[in-house]
Amino acid sequence: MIPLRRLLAAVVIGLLGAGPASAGFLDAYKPPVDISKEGHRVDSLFYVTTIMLLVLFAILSYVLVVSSIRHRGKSSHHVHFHRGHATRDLTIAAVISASIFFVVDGNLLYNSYEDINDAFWNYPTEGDLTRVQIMPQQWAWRFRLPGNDGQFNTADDIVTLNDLRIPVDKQVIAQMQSADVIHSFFLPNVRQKIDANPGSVTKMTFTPLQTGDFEVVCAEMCGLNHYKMRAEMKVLSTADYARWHEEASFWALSGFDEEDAEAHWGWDWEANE
Amino acid sequence: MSADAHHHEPGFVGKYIFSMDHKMIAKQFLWLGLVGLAVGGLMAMLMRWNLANPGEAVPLVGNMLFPDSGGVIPPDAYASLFTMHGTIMIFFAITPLLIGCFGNFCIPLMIGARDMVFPLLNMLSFWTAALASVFMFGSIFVPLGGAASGWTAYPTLSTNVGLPGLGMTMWVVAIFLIGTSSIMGAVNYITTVIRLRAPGMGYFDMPLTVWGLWLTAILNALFVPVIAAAMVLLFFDRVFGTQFFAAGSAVVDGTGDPILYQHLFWIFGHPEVYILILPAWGVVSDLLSFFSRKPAYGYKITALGMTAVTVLSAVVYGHHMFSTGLSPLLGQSFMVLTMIISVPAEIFFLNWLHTIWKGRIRMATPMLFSLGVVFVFGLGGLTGLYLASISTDLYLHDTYFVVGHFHLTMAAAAFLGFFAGLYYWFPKFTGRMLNENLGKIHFAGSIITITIVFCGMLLQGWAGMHRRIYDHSVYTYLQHLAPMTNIITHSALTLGFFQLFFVVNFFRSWFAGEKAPENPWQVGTLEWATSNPIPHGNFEHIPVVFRGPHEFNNPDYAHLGRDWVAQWEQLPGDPSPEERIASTHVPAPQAAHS
Repeated sequence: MIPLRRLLAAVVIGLLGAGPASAGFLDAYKPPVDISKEGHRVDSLFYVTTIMLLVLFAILSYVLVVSSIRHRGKSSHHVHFHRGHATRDLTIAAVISASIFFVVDGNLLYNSYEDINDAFWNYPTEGDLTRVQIMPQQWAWRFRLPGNDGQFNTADDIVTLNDLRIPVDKQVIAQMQSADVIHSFFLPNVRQKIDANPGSVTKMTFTPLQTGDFEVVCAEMCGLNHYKMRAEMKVLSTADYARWHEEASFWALSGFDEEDAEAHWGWDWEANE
Repeated sequence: MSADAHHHEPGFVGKYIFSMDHKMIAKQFLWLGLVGLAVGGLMAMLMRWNLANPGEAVPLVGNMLFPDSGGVIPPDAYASLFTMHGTIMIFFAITPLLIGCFGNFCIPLMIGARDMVFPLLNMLSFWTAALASVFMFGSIFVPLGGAASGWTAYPTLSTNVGLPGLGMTMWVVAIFLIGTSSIMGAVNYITTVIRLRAPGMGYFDMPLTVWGLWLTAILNALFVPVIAAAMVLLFFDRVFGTQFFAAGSAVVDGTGDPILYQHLFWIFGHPEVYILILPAWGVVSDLLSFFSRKPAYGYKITALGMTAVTVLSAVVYGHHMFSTGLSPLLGQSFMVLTMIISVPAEIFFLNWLHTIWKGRIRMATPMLFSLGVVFVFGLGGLTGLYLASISTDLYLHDTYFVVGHFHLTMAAAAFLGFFAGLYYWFPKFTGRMLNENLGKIHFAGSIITITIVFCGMLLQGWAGMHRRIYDHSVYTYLQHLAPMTNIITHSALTLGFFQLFFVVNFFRSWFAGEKAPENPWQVGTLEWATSNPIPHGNFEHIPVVFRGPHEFNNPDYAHLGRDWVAQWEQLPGDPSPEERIASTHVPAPQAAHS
């Protein structure tokens, strides 16, 4: 049996030593700035889990190092003959594993459950929303916002290439499909991604809280130029967005070409999707 | 069969090429796997060079490999490199080395059998694998290039919509063939363990190596047929224009579903990661005990824990698909199931730590590599939790965090486990010892660089670096990660360099190494009951087994003056062979073949 006192010592060493050291590392390699209302859920869950796992890892390293040094063949200590077959041994192993499960895994499960039900997979159907349709293709992002009529798939739709503009502080709901192969709509600053599949509609929702230019990334291997399938997401202030939207909708209507089938890739908004 | 009655010396072709002897087939798989490991490893180094120096010519070999671009790796070649690296390492390195080679060599010898139960099937299994490797390696050289869809080959990219070349089709055929080879091997291993155990050897007297290989074989037999089916459908889509997967997109009319492929792929794909790691777990569970000179702590619980992981591995695959738009019910179910699989894994991991604690550890090379497995698997196993949880996975999926995690678990742990086993069984394999000093340099160089490479990837992944990217400098939010990319590349190249110590050691020892004693590690499992070189039919007489494989420093046997007792030794106080056989219900196997 590994004595309890030493285990506790290992926990303390883990917290004092590995913790701050790794925290320093994690700080240098932290994710890009979180601009969303929901992103902190991922960050805090990651950090809390990391601290707990560092403790476990410290214990593991302690056992490996100490037994490798202290229990080498040359030392004359008595070999601890123990099969570990007794009910007591199994009970101890089961209790340790169950504790780890309930604390570490349990925390992940509980928070993930909350996160997806309250935020990530909780898609709004009504209210004041920024609705956007996305149709990626090899190797570009096409975005579609409704014009002044508020309807998709009409003549005043604002269609942009690799340039998504949305207003700040307003929940976004995106629906997407793919024109060819599978792509994945990844917003590092929002901590979310969702695949865009040919033939079916997937969704993502988030609320941007910060204005500025951020990157849109394709996270699913989609062929030769996958690596540069990049778009800009411009989060604008409410006033800036309204001004841009008014203008863009006007130009969209005046430039609309009934014959150009390629440009009419939008679909009717799937309200209950 | 009897060892001598029908024995006639086969000719060169019968002995070295179309051999039905499990030991020769193990050697054939070893060579195939080492070639795969070398090719796959060199591909990894080319990728690492490109990541640290995008657009710069590869030194030394660049002009030879990429003459059209002046030695620079072009983006299409890069895509082909990461596809082929993954495929080759999984199906043509780990599979032949840990399953083909160790499975063939260890199972019959460790359970006291004269050969596999189906020697002809065994031979066919190798030659199917050889045919598969012709298709796989050949696919690189055909016009339009090799497969370039990632090892997962998701449609519609992997159909003619994305990759119309012949190389991709050859890749599909190669996966189907190597799968067929695996199934043939699996049927053989499963049956051999059930039917041909030495008299007196109950299931819980088997070495844990045999447990690991047996559970792997069961998973292979159950789940490789699923990927084979997916490959057949993908082949039809590519060659005959069906639309099982290639549908829905604007360029194709039809009613197929690319997501269906992902389900099929991962129903196989998740058990596959356990297929790859279970043999290493088994080997390590044994070696930690052998070299700590202590019984494997909680042997039965370890065996049952590995069995529990095997069963659960069938129902966790959905965690690969959290970002595909999976229904919340499915997502949550797979999240819970995935977390549950950590419990049995933790239990036998604790058993490993208990085994080495207060032992009398002999720090020979096999032990060093085994401790290395415990270390890297600890790191890799813990980081898996972030990917099982939907919240964190939505961010980390398809980033370098995933790359770091699965390399630590199924690549580094599997290969370190392979090296542990190879250093350990090499004397049985060849009658000669591998050099210990070169082995220790090999270990030290490997473990340090492995830790830097894959922990570096974990950090980059957390910083948001996505995978399968030819040039990360395209993205402003990844610019500050370039120094870490450089560190990883240097460590990866150093890791490659340290493998040269193994290559030298391997060839020198194979032909001119120090002659091995009969039982160099003083271990009592059955492969050490037979002489070197191993006679035809393996054993003079099939031994009767009296005890489990890990009898070290048992106070009851202190009077023997050594710290180990063999499984085949009948000591005072043991039952008679007849009584032992009656109590374990394992009689001598009937003549299964001749």
